[in-house]
Amino acid sequence: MTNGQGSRYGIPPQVANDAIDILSLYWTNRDLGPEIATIFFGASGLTPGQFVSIQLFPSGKARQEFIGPDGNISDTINIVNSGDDKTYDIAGGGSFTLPEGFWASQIRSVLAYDAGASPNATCWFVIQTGGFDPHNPGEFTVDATLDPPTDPALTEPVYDPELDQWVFDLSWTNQEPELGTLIEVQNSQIYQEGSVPIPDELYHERFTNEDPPDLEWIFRFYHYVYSPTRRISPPSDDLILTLGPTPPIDINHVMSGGLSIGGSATIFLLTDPSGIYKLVPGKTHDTIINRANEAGDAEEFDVKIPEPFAETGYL
Amino acid sequence: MPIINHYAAIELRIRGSGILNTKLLSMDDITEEILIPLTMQSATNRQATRLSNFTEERARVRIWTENIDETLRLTELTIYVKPRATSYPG
Repeated sequence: MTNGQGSRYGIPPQVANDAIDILSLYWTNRDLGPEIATIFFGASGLTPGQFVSIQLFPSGKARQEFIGPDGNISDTINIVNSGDDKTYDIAGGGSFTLPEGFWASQIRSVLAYDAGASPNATCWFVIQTGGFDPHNPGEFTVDATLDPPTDPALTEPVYDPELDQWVFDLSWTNQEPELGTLIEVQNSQIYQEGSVPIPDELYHERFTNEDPPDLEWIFRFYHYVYSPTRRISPPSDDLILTLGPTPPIDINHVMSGGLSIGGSATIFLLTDPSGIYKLVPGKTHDTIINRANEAGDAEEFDVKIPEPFAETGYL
Repeated sequence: MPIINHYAAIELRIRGSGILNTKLLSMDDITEEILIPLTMQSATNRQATRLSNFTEERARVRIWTENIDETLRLTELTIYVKPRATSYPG
């Protein structure tokens, strides 16, 4: 529950529940006609995930009537969900319950409220927020944008003999400022770890597992609304990470072998090859010298050493 | 009694130029496995590893080059082997 007292002339009210840090009540004074009270949820901090109801307790000359979009007093108000720009027509007086599935990451110009013409009019309000939808006790889905965490990384599992468990760390960077992020790890066991995220910060959770590291674990990131049991968005794509180093190859016997080096003889395809060979240190190819022709010119051809190889003995 | 071994990898401390080809050969060259060629460098701080999946009683490693003026200096060759079976089925 969040409550506070509205005041006039654009002075935001005090918000009793600073833990959510979501609320300010803004009153504007119209030159003609009744005043308009506007509740909006500022961008200064976290916003609640699910609004359940709003109750207004006017005092002074305020009246529990709403100002409709046309400026006339009405029993119906419009609430605009700024998250997806959905508009809800809500009937009520000083108290109304928000519609099923109503989601607000941020609300602007929520309601028009006839506060009367008195400069002394004030209005208490109570806003109930929650991490679940009271209209739908089962799982519900909300058209909320999911920004999956980024840069997930795992450390190699390390066996802790005191815990008799394998310990590894998962880190990621949060993207959503207003939602709780919960990680679900699926393997032979299911783990759930939650956190209250701050955007663009690196987060870190430690997991333990009694079993030796398996080949493949699946990590899923869900976004939760201040509740560890209610999902409000579909999971991110599976993050499949392989845990554990590849077991080292067990070398349990060493054998020895010799080494032989070989190759083929250069194939002579020249018209008139000579039989002269020169030993040249560092030479990396063969050279074939053609015998001098009638003009006295000798030709040289550099060719590769055919099929040079080396091989070990049998191991 | 024969021991059938699994040859898992070779590791080479090698410097040179050009492309080095490697393969494992069984006795009498009945079977062979050609490993991924590696590009040699004149100086390197890494030992090259080439994975293999070769199961034989005995095996030998052959290295060779195919182009002109390729040179190499092999100073260490490690072969990772593990016994897999002590006899053939039946």
